[in-house]
Amino acid sequence: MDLLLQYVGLGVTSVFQGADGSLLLMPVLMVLIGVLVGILIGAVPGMSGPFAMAIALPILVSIFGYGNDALYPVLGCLLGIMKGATVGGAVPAILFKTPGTPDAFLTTLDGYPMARKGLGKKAIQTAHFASVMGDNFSDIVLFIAAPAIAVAVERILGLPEKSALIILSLCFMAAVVGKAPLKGLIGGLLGMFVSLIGSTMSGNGPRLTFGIPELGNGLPLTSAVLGVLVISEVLISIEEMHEARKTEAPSRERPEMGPALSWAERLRMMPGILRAAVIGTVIGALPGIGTTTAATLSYDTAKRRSKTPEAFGQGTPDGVVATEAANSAVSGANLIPVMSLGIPGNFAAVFIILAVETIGDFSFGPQVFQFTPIQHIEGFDTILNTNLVMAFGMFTMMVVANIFNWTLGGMLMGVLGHLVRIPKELMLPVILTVSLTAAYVQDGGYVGLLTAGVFALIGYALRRLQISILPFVIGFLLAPTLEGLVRGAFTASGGDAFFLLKSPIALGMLACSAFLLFRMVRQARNP
Amino acid sequence: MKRSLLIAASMLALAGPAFAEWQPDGPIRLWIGYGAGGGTDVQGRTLAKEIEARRGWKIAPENKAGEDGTVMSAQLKSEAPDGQTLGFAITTTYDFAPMNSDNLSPEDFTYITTTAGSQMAVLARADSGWNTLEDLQAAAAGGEQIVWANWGTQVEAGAELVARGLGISVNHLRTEGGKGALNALVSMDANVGWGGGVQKPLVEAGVLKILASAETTPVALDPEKRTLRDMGIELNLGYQYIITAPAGLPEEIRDEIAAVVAEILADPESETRQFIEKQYPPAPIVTQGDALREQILATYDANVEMMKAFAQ
Repeated sequence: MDLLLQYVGLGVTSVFQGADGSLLLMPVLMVLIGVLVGILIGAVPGMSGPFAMAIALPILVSIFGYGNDALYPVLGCLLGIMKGATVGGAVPAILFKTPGTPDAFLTTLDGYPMARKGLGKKAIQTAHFASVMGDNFSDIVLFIAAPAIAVAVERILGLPEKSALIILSLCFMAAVVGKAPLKGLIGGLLGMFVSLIGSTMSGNGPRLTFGIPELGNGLPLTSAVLGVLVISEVLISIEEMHEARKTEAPSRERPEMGPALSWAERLRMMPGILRAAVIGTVIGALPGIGTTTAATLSYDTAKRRSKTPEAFGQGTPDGVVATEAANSAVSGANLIPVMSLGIPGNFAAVFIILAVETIGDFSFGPQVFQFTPIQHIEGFDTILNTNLVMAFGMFTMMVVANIFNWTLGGMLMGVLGHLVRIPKELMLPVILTVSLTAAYVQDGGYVGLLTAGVFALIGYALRRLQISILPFVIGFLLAPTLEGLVRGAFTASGGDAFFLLKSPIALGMLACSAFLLFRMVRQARNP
Repeated sequence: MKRSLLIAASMLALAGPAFAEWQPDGPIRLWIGYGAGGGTDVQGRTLAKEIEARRGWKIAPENKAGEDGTVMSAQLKSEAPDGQTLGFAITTTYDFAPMNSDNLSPEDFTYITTTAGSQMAVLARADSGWNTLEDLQAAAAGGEQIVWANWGTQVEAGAELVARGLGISVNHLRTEGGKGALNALVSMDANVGWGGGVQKPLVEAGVLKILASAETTPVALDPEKRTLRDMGIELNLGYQYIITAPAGLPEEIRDEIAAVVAEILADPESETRQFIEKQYPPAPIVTQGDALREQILATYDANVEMMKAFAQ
């Protein structure tokens, strides 16, 4: 216990103190900037946290460079954006019925009617309070669960079991994302196929690189993700802008704001917040399901359990609480599979992993949570697990982001109504220029640009075919890990052809994967 | 006499920049053959900063990771040999990796200077209870399954040769880089592995233990442990960190770059030197120019022989 507290103490101080004991302001400042940007971006219809994280990552890397010193400022900003965006998304949903982020869609069901009734301020404050509470709950679970799960995983799971776990995660993700699971599976497999470009792990040289030496270490990750996620969205938006002109835009007139939310009302919301936060946290901890599912599930549960289910959809604060507390509770919990296994749960987690892989000498996984005894050796150095200190440092920055969300978030949300009218025509060229510049600068010039371009077309095609992009991106990111694990499990078993089927745990996971695949095919046949 | 020599030497030192034969024509690209954050990356970036401070040359480090530096060197060999594009990797990239590549040869590069040497050792978890390779041998003979974590073809061949030398059989686990091998050991996916220097904190923390040195001499982290050669296994897997350029780099450019690196590594105040002393003890290893080229070519030949022995 002492050791745990020592590491927590070191983690907390490492955010505020440099190696020489001087006061560090940069990480906290970057968290603040991240939260502010996140809230603003979340409030702009059509933009989302992961979108902003995709654009911010290359910019942050070019400012702070590489190495462990850059890790805190860059991650602080990304975590801030992630958390700020979930709060900001509620504002346009409530005031103008235009959800800033997809997961705030359900907030419009009750938030907008509340605003129409002259309770705009109350609705916004309810969304803010529920959101921040849900977020805090989920962070507490992350702090406790991530180290425990990591340690358990390492004790129980060997190479075959870890391989089977990743296969199961990918199948699970395909099964739950989007309306057509089989399409999700195809997207995931396509992502895995594209990630084969690069080098074989056997040391047999390049694979599928078309003779381009620059592709020897695989496709440039940031450019690929920027292309498939951001640029393809820009392409779609440009197309849709033309269509949108024909339809009538919703009223952008600021409604009457009405009275503020009282503390007694806040207290009465607590059971609802707690229930929604638990749902959000559980959903967030599972890979690939994400915030929208959490919000839907939580809203349905709240409605079913309510004494006045007919009030839902007519402007009840309970509806706002159910969606906002749940979708915010996802953000902390989705880092549980990331921190302990390196498996991203949703897009926001993808960027946290990308940042960590790009910048410094730190990688997620069970070794992060090894509690090495701290020893000071006179005249030499201190021996400790620096990764663990950094993990607790990250947790600290999440708490700092929550504090900013509590305080500044509340104030900012009140005035955001004025800021959400930025026209898309202005935003799109800016986003496109920043993304292409980032791809060029960070990922080896024209190779980066070309990759971003090709992936933008892939993303565009997937979206038009209504195939969810998340399985594609996660398949793309996880395939090398899976290949390494399967190869490792095979060679470590001495070339046993049945290496994956010899452990009961791996067998169980593979059986679950097979069941999910079977269900997907059956669903596709009998929709 | 001594005094006049000293004056002459200091005048020469003061006039150094004026005598410099070569000035780069714009920023120098320093391609680092490994990912961000690792030992090669930190060394390369610190060195770049210190060269900039000493010579005023602008140096832009860039990571080009993959396949033990060969992804970087495959690109480097086609660049112009004008000193504007340099590579930073390890000697294995040039004296072993070309064996597995159709389009790379040790003759494709100009070898400028080494900076530091590895601390190549055989490692096991401290809780294994093994102290030496004999303990490992006994455990294998007792029926324990040995899984050896390797990060590349050369060390995997080395592990197989050690196993043959000990008369045991091992299964191999290929990991991503030296850090991957350590993770495999810590997470119990493997029970023996190689460490080139990155193992230092884990050995000091008592999590891992050195069983033997794979250098020609014992490693600084555990000078008590014997080398593989002491045990009759003819293997030296030690390597050095090296700066290279495409073949055909004019000698004056090669020597000018080598000179500034030597200057930095000789300075006890230099950040690069301090990093090397800490991470790759005891001190920098500086071999330059023709001597370095001969070393690479000779080691390449020795490695060809090792792989022949391995194939038998």
